[in-house]
Amino acid sequence: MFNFFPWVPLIYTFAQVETEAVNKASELITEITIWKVAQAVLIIAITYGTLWSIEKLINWLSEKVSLKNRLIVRESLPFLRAFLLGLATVLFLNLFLNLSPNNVLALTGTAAVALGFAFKDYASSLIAGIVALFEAPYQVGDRVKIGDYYGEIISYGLRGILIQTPDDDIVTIPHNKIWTESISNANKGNVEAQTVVDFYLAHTVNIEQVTQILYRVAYTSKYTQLKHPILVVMDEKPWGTLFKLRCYPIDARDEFVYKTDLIKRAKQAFAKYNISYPVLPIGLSKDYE
Amino acid sequence: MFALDLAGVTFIKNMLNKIKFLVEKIKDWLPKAQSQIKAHAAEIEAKIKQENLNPLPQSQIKTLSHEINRLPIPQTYRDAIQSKLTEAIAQWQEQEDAANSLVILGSPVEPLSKILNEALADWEQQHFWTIKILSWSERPSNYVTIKSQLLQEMGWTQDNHQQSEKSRVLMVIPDLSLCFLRCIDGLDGIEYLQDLLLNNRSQFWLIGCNEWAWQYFNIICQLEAYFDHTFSLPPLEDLELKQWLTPISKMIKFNFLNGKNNQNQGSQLKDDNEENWSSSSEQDYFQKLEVISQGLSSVAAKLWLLSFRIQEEKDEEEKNNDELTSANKSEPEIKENIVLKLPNLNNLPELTKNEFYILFSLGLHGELTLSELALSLGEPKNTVQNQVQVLRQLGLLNFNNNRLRLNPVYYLQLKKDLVNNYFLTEGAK
Repeated sequence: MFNFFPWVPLIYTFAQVETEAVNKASELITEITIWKVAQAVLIIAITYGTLWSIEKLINWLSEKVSLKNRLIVRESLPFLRAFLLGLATVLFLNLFLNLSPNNVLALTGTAAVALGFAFKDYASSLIAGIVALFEAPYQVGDRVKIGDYYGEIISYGLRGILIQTPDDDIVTIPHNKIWTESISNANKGNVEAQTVVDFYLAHTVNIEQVTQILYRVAYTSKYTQLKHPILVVMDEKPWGTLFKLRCYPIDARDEFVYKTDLIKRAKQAFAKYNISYPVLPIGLSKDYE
Repeated sequence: MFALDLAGVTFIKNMLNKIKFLVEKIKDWLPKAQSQIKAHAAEIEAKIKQENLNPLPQSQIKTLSHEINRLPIPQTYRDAIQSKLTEAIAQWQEQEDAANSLVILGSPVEPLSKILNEALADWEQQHFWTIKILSWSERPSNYVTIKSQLLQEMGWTQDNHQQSEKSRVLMVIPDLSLCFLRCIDGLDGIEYLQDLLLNNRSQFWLIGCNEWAWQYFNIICQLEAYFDHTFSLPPLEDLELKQWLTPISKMIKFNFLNGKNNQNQGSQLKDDNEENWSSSSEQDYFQKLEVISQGLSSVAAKLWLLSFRIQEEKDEEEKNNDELTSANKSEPEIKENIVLKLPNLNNLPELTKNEFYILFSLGLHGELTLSELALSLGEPKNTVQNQVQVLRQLGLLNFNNNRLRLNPVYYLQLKKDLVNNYFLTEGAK
């Protein structure tokens, strides 16, 4: 015959734990009143409004200040945004939850499990965003290449960044790319970024003359930042000689117009001095195409 | 224990010294702050008084501007250039390996050619040297020919190059910025001069150059390495500015806005040099002019000219009549007085990046024709013309004899903005 009595205390204990859990849950969530809901709505509205205004203000201000201060102003935006969102979250939770140390522990544990399953990538991006704020692999205003995309970071959000490509497309890239992808940053917090222009010329050209022309092209461009070094380096290809002109524009945003200016004026000079371009052998030209 | 006591005493002594130093600093700062507050108060008062003030008519400004251009250069510039030149030449003659050149640097808005030409006029008579001056008043129309024209103009031959004996011939290039144009073939003249200076040490060279161009040459061809002596024109002080502008101010009868006539003796002069200043208003005026123009003659002259105002004043009797017989209205007699209000720098209008490129190019070259400006920017002439037109309307550019120059009134603020936007480095004048 089944002896029921030894199980009685165990069942009692389970019932007690369940009741305690229900009690604790009710302790965790405070009484919800209309006033609290109104306060919550107000917090959300104020946070949204402030975030919107700060973003507009900082973007406006960064275009008004001198080049020297542009990035300093822009870089403050992610920090301000993180601070505001953090503050709003704490105020919001404080309205509806009893944030005692035990409750906080229980809540974070529950949230971690929920997020872990449901919003794994989102949580990963959020955490990566916070890490990136301090590690700074990129900042607003930097020119970065992540995956197939290259451009200027124009916004640093909670989940990801917005990149403006040379074709004026806006690409959203989640922060969690920093865990797995390599990130190439052209200016890393500076307003100047090196520009490299390739010139392919015939093997027979006068190297001294070409080098001098390329230096002059860089020295006389209105876009060139002269405090940075200008360099001409060469490489040899089976069908011609590659000259690389390395120099910096005053403003990294001018990278592509700068490149165009350098190419345009160099080609004019090459034409003036009859400097010849390489002719690809037929088979090679097909490969090259 | 004793060591600890000693350390404590030293610490307290250090602290006391620091506090003393701070107190001294505050004491030193207080009178300055007081004078600054007074100056601001005077400015506000002057602004209130300016209600009935109108600027001089354009025709009068033009006439006065013409007269200013005809003024001899400030004596301070003349003395400084002559003494530096004499000193550098003496050194060159005494020492075998001494540098055979002197570079005089000035701001892009100073008329360097005129300054050097006038400074050398007396010097030549005193020292019995043959002076050979590059007579260009403008850049050769075809920049590709700069090098050949330099050769032709200054008469350098292969024989000159070989000559090793030091001659008493002074070669002068009053404005080096006329010898280049920022484009691929426009730097040949500078490179040629660089080689010439290194190889021909039998003659002494005096070269004038604007600070922006000098900074540019130093970066692209390390020009400073070829010139041991460089000298910047000294800033003019308040009294020097007054003395320099006196011939023009004698042509106009004016009062200082604070009420004292320019010819009357005033009271409460700030220093003992009572014979130098006719009134404290005059002294205040030129002190402020010195500060805001940073002692640059062309900036000061332009600001001085722009601070003249016409004050319309009703006759005192008419004023009283007006009050008494308001019914019997007759046109009151209006007296027009010329007054000199405290000078002010105009705010630089908001500029685009392209406008900065144009202004920087003009500063670099001193002056340019529209075609030269387009070449230096690597842009089509039409595009540049539109932008130049906008800048002219904003008053940032002067256009004379088909050549564009920076307006000295905005020069100092423009320079500051160009430094902040990384066009120039801090040292540029």
